[in-house]
Amino acid sequence: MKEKLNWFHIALLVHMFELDTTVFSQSRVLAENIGTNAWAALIPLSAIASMNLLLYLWLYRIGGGQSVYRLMHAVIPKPLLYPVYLALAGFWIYIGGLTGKNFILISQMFALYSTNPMAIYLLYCGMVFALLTKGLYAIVKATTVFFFMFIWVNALVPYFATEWSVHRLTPYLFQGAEHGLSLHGLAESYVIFAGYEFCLFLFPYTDKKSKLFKGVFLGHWVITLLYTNSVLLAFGFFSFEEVQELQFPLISTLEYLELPFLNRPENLVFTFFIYPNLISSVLFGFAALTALREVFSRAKGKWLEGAIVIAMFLSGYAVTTLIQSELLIRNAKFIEIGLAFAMPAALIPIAYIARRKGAGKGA
Amino acid sequence: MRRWAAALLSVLLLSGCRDERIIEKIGFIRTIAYDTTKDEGENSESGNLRVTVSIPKTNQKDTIQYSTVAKTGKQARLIFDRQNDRRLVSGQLRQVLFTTDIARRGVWSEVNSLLRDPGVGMRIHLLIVESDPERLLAAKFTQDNTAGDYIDHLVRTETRTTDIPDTNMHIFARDYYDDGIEPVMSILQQTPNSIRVGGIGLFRGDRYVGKIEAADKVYFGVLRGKVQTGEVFIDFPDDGYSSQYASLHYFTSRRKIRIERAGPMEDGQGLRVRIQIKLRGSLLEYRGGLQLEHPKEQKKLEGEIAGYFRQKCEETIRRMQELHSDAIGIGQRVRDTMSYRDWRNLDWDEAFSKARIEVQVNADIRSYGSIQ
Repeated sequence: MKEKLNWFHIALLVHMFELDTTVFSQSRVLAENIGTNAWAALIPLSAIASMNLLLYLWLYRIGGGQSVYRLMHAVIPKPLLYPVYLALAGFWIYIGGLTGKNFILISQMFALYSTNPMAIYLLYCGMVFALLTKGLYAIVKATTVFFFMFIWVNALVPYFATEWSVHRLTPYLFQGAEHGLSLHGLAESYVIFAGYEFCLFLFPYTDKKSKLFKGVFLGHWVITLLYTNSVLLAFGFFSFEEVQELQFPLISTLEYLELPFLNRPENLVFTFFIYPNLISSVLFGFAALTALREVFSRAKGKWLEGAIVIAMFLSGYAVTTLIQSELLIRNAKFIEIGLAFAMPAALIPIAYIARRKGAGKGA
Repeated sequence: MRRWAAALLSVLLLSGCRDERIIEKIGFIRTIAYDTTKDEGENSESGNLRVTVSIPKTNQKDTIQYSTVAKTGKQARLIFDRQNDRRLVSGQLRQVLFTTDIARRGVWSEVNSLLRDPGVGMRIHLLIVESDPERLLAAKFTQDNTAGDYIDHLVRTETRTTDIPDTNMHIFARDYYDDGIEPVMSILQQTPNSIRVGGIGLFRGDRYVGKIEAADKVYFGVLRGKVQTGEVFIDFPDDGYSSQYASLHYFTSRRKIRIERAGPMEDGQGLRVRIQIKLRGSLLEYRGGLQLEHPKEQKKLEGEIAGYFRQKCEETIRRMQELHSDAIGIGQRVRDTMSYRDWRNLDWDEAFSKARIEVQVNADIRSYGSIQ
């Protein structure tokens, strides 16, 4: 019998996928767009993502856990879907590549200043290729290991307690946003949750015992709590106006670390953030792979994976500066969020039609 | 295929060796000092700085020192790089010294460029020096190998064990940005054979406006926050006290701030602030007329210590009010009681300078040492 995923591993997968370079600037983005005590906005924003996830749950129930590609093929002729698949695969490769390149550019603020970023990025892509070719189960296993190699970073929070003050949070709720509270600002704050929609590609790898959505919701809410914790830390550790000024408040927080036997250990801690980032790139690559397999069903060996990683590498050439990279990631994440809502909205009616057709055939 | 992959991987990994930093070929800047140019002084129009850096040699006993006139610290570093045989880096920078002239002009442009540089740690100490920094950094002290190490150890020990606030870059920048508190810097003075903490520099925004004398830093310490292991020598004035001297050691302090608002605050009449301070420490020195073996007299001594502390704390607050510098963060607590709009419209510097601030002290002597 084919191995199925377990809810625990799914939770880790969703957790690691949602976590990427956006976490470094998250506190500033929230302070700029939502204002004082913006950490409190993460809960309702996360609830919106949860409502979005309920649509995926609905889709999963109607479709009987079938792959979304099978559902679509039951209703729409395959050739009509190919351009859509290609466009989506291209987009996911692009965003996976941007995520990786962004991490490299940020890390070059601290180390390997004069090395060509593309040379480091090539190594990163090598790791993406190694994971992608091993298939989803190996990715899940690697994610589990990476999760435990990374999660301890959260245990550093009490270290900053002596310099944290509740009075710096101020008593004001959502005041002082740079351009006032706006829909655009809320969307910009929401992008940190992008990634939960990946559960769509897990349908064929699960059965009832997997408890797919238990895992997805758990992963999503655990990351929500960790995000809230990290933003709350920044708002009480720095002053509000300072959070609005700092490019990467999380990295500036890490810069405050000091050990009796080691000065400036932040570079060491920063390195561990490569794990969730790598998983994000790999899973975007995996999403692209599922779409490309539908188009190039005869492709053999690891050619598709190879092509995806090469394309991902080449997409790294699209950005050379950190500012540009942050801007492109933000715009790409806006599209990703649009997709996160649009995909179930489009697929639920298709699933209904597919089910009726299936029932008709059966009769 | 595997061989090819291994070969490719080794080439890639070896490429990392190109961007090497060999420790023997690097000059680690330990201290940067900013001064006004000698001929221009505090009111310089050109904005030029005299920048000095101190770099410990590999034997850790001697230093290399460079000094130049430049527009900014970074420009000065480029000039030093042309002189130094090793590449200069700021990853091991431990302290930045500002002379009082420079501090009066404002320090933010320099602090801002230090904050912007990811190579500079958030824990570097920002300090004011009342002496010539070039002479101070070049001097030999018996306490440590180099002046930079000496200052680093001195400031760390003082902040960890006694009552001066830790004025590292994170804390300075945090308080600079916060509209409910003003930043502070510790002040250093050079003596013929040592460097000593000469008080606490008070700021308004990024400009140094005045100081709390070293003898009063302990009162500033308890007003600003918790003191973990403070030490204080109390020289009681003649009038109204039965004691002459007392030394309170290993004391801890806690403060509580109560805000009472009864009207408009701009003129200071509507704002009343009560600061409650709790002290607990060991008495290790006493001279005076009280018999310390009697509980009643012990209570009296506690009352005298509390009364003296209250008087000194209130004097310290008056000093800050005169200088319009709320360095103990009363503004943060006032902000907690106000609406966002009212706070934004309030000129806090002005309201602080006129507020009625009272101090209540509760002193508790934990032990009286080994003799009664």
